[in-house]
Amino acid sequence: MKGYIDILAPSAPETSSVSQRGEKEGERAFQSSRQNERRSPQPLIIRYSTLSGHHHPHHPAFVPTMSSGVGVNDQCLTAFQDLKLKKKFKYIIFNLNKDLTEIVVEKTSDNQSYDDFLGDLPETECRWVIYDFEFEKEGGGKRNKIIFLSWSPDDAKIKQKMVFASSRDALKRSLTGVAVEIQGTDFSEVAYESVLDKANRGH
Amino acid sequence: MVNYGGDEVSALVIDIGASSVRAGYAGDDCPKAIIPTSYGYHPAPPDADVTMSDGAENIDAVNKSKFANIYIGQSGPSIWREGMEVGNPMVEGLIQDFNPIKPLIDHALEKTMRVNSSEHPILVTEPTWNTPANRERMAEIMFEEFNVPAFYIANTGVLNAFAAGKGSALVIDVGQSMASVTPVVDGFVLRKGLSYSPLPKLIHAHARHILISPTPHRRGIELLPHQLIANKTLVDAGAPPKFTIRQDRIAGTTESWRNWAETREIDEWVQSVAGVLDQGWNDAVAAQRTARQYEFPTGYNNYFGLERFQVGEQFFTHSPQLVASNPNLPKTIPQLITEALRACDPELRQVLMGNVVLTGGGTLFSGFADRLTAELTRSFPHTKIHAPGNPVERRYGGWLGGSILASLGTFHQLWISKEEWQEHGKPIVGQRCK
Ligand SMILES: Nc1ncnc2c1ncn2[C@@H]1O[C@H](COP(=O)(O)OP(=O)(O)OP(=O)(O)O)[C@@H](O)[C@H]1O
Ligand SMILES: [Mg+2]
Repeated sequence: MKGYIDILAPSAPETSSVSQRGEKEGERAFQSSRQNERRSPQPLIIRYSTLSGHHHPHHPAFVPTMSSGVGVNDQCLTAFQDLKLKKKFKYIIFNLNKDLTEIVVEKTSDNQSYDDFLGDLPETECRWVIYDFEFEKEGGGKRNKIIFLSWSPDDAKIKQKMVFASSRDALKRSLTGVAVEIQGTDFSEVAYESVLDKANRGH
Repeated sequence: MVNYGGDEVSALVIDIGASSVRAGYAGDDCPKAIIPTSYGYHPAPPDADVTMSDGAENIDAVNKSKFANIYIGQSGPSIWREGMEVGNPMVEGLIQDFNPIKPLIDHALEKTMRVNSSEHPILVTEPTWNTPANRERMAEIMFEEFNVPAFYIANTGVLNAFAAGKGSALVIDVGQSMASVTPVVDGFVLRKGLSYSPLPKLIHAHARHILISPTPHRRGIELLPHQLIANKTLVDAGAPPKFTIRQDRIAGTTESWRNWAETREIDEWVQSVAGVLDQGWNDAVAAQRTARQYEFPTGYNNYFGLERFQVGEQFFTHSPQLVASNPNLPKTIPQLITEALRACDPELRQVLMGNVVLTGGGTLFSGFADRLTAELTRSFPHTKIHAPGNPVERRYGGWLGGSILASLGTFHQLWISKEEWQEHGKPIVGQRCK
């Protein structure tokens, strides 16, 4: 009888039959390759935070990437500038309009309570948020960072998830000065501590 | 609905995999046509006129040189025909033979959906490792042979990430022939991190090996398909089967058909019986699990215990003996993930592991998601796996993502129109569809 593996590696010698392996091996496949990695560290290829906006410098108006083509209403930029430069708001919540053609401002707020803000995130619907996050940098006094949150809860409808995910880049590109990006699918990922942790990690 | 030339028409979405061609209306939540990608055919005899035989597709639609007749869909390869060969255009996730593509798509659109392709923009999906020549050829077929008013080709990795609501995700796709891990970052594929292997084929080969090899407890199993069996009698579990072969069909059965039919037998066994232990291999645990009964077309039936878990184990680990004797084993899922993450810095790894997306029929394998969670949380405690419970959403996530995207009015900016194709030709495909 031919070794069954022949179809995959025709040149392979006769194979012995496959038997069970010890429990340990299950772990080894994944962890040993990580050890390799530690021994010969790969050069850092791309930094997550620097990815956006660098892909198509020659197409400022038309973005030939896979996106929904949804537009961004001017009020989004105005509200963002008011938050960033005039400190008029603590946060802005963005939504898509009913026809799914345009991103619009749904709410602006100067409420300082992070918990109140979390209460504004719908449990089963997607939104984007710009949040002016204030925190104590370890040993460095008070700092502000602008957070861009893509809120896509697990229980949202698939159509909404798809449209939001494929429109995100349009909004993101029109808002310059975002320091931290967060993708949130449940409340634990947008909890204060979790955001604080991300804000602290940046420069 | 897409506004095209003043008329509101639905776009169509086509997703071609090794197992099936999925086609349907953009905006629908599942494909209207799901037809097997494998097709039956009678090869064209050199320089001879051919007569249409029963169930054959319209010969005009068929590449004239290669096939005398081609059989697709329900009356495709599953119907035994004398001298019929079986082909499949896909190799390693890519279309290798374009000859049957036109008849396959024709069948899905015209026969099953009853639509006229020249009236609908068409979005086609592609895996990340598709070649520029291949996607251009697809555009050419769409514009020149199907006369579509507009075309777009979309990456399945990005479609799956988006359909899960994520701009950044680690997309794990296990299909019939390929397993792949694609890092998607801010809506872009991080090509450097793409890794893939024909792992599902090893699972399949392993299942075949287990079934046909005798063990101390049972004989080797004959994988005869029902089409070659005239009748069978009920037998006890483990008893030799009692059946009569259709001798009249043996001489007219081709090797490619026989292979295809056996593959189906194995696939059915795998889907109904095989599984993977959720916490890693353990003889005692495997032996404790309930054995499952399965009956083959010959009437042979038996209980499968430990063996059924050995099959699934191959997704995650290769035995040392196997590795020693086969230098080119397809990478396991953990190896593919490790390789993908190597292209990412630690911060990005955390983001990706918090956003793992499972897609493809192979991830429906019993116990797969639980085992993967166990493997990944050992190294990344914050692992979060998105695995849609709805089997259509899980298996056809790429199609579904394309369906939603192509249904958006605003997406019209991205379509390549027929005029643009005529003006710019092939280069427009790479420019528009990144
Ligand atoms: N419930 C299940 N249990 C185990 N395997 C399953 C199940 N359902 C489907 N499969 C497997 O999924 C595979 C088909 O998956 P899918 O439709 O994603 O593949 P494909 O896209 O056609 O192939 P590829 O991506 O390799 O080109 C088949 O091999 C089938 O055995
Ligand atoms: Mg596939």
